[in-house]
Amino acid sequence: MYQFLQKYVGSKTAGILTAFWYLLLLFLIFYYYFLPSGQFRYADW
Amino acid sequence: MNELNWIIAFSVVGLTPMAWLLPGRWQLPTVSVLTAGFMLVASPLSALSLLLTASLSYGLFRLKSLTPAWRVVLSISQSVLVWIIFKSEWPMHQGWQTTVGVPLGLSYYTFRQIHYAIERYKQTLPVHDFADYLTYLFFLPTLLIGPINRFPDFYRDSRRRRWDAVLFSTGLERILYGYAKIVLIGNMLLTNKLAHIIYTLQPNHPSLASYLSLIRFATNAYIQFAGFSDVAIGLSLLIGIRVPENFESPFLASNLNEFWKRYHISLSSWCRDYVFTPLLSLTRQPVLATLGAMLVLGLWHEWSSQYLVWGALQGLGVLIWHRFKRPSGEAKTAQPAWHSNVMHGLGVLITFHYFCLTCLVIQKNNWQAVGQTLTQLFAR
Amino acid sequence: MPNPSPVRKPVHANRQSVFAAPPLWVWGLTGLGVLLGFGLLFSMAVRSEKALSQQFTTDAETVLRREWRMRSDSVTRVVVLGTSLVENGVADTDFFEGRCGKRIRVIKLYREAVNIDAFTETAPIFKLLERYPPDILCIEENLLLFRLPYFLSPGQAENVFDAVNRHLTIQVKSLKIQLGLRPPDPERVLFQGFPREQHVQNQVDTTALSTTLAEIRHRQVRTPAELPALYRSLQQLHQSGTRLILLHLPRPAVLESVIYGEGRDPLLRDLIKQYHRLYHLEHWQFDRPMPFRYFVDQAHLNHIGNPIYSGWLADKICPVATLPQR
Repeated sequence: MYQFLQKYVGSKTAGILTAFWYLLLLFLIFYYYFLPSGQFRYADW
Repeated sequence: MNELNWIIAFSVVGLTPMAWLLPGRWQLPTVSVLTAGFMLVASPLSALSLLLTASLSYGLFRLKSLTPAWRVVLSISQSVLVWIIFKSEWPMHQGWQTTVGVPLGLSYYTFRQIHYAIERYKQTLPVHDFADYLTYLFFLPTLLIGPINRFPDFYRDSRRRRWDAVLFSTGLERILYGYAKIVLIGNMLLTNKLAHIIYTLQPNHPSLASYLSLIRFATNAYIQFAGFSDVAIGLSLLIGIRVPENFESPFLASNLNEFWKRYHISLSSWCRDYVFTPLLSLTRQPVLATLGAMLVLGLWHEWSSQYLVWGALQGLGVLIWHRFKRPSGEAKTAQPAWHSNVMHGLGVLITFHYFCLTCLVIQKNNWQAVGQTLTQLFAR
Repeated sequence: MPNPSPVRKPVHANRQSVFAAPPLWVWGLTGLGVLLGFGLLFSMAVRSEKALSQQFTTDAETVLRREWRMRSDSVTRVVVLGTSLVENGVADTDFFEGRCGKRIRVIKLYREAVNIDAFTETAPIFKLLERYPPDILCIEENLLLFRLPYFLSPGQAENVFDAVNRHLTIQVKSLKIQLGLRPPDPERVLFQGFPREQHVQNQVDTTALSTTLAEIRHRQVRTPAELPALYRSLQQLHQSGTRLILLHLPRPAVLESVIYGEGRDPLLRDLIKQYHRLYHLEHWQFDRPMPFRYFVDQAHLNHIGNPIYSGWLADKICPVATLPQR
């Protein structure tokens, strides 16, 4: 994401935008984390 | 929080600072000690079982009274024995595992130990001591969900590792993207949304529902596992160790052979190196070697008839592909470009569906349910 | 070395082309954002919880006062107080009237996923009951028998993330309804804490049985002296002529046998006896074992289980409803 943004805007702006992208992802993960999950049994292996 | 979240939290908050802030030679040993401590708290059985098998698989090679061949055989046997005790169907039916529990990451470190024993027998390993071996095995980021990394790579990285901000940042990003895969694609889309759709389709379109549930199971398994692998790789990067990739867009493979080079790579390459190649050089029978490797690959998941059949089906698929593939000498330019594209696309579709269909065997709890789903899929 | 000419930071420069990760200050910024964002969500959750409790109190007061004012109309008034088990298990008032053939009004007062604090501290429901006493008060036994790990305020909850997330879900849902992205919830019943669709739509429950069993095994039994304020309210209600019931709401038989498990059963029996002796709480125990298919999930009765249980409850209430008028 950062590298992609850097092509169009300066490093600083790209960094800030990337942080917002991470925050969006984190928010969505938090929002959906407590759904009943279909977690696979990988933890058992 | 489940075990996995604890591992991630502990790796980030506990292990990572230790791996960089302590004096150089204490960094990785501290990571191992903390890993052992974590295991002791989370599951004492796991810590004991790993310490025991690790000590034996290393110690047996120090015994002067044994021939090298005996050392490797005994070393592998003890690892496999512990693994079979916990992973076979029998104790599961006794309800034993629910009372005693299964050691964390057992399947992964059993295969690491077998790899170590064979390479040690072949004398390909770098000079190392017991502490190096323990550091390799007691490494929390890859303990629970792999990948089955190799000792020489780990050892080399553990010697060469230097603080690198870009690598660290990459690790953080891998963890975040891995979690996004697990929660957003796996849990939200494939488990929740798609499961709702399947549930509403069930009464009026049972065949379609069965088909979608088949696809859902295989894709969800892939996404969750790939996500966990990303997290494990990311956590390792935080400590400065690079572990190999485990997936490379496997569902885009156009045949089953290629599929298994791109799906759970660390396991399939293990089976190639330690089952397929030795069997081939011993017997000169590619069919036997392929089947053997795929059976081991299946049984690695669980020592049960279901995974045996699943592995056999993978082997069968690879063999069928071998039988009908275009001989490598034939010129490819004879066909127009669109033709090869269509063939490629068709291959991708067939491979994907074949894999999903074989997963039916492990999705259902008993053979009767497998039969029912198959009739539902094809009998109308 | 393939390239012997000196390059500034060769390793770094080389990796930059392979990995696309940002510099570390971006992660610092992200961390800051997470702290701020979570803090904001947390305070929003606390505020919204207060508002919900306030609403609950106001609604309860309105209903109880209205009923109290009509008390001379020879209708027997029953209040059933509890959690979502009451919401799903006890039928609406018409069912009881039809079944008893008498004038009877059953008022359900419940909040989902709560312990007794929800009716004594966060919302003073027992004070309201003292002021406007019903003829019969049924209290879900779980509230008085166990220290349930459910807290309304995110600040008290065992899992803060879970608690904040629950409120976030409610907020996002109401936002979606406001924007017209989803149809509003069907008007269900008056007292509603946490709407969870799966209970309404009767979907498959995905909670592992082992999770539920673990929760049940961890439950601690209360002692008959730890809720003094509540006991005073109970005594007050008894003096006003309210008949007090400790009401059992069934779980699937498998779980029921764990709730009243070997080690715990004598403790519970003793506690129930003490409650009866000290605070005049009668215990109504539903004895029929219920299979899983009578439930929406592992706790809440469904359209099959609800009439069976409510039928039994009506049979208990009807004879009592002939009590002389106050």
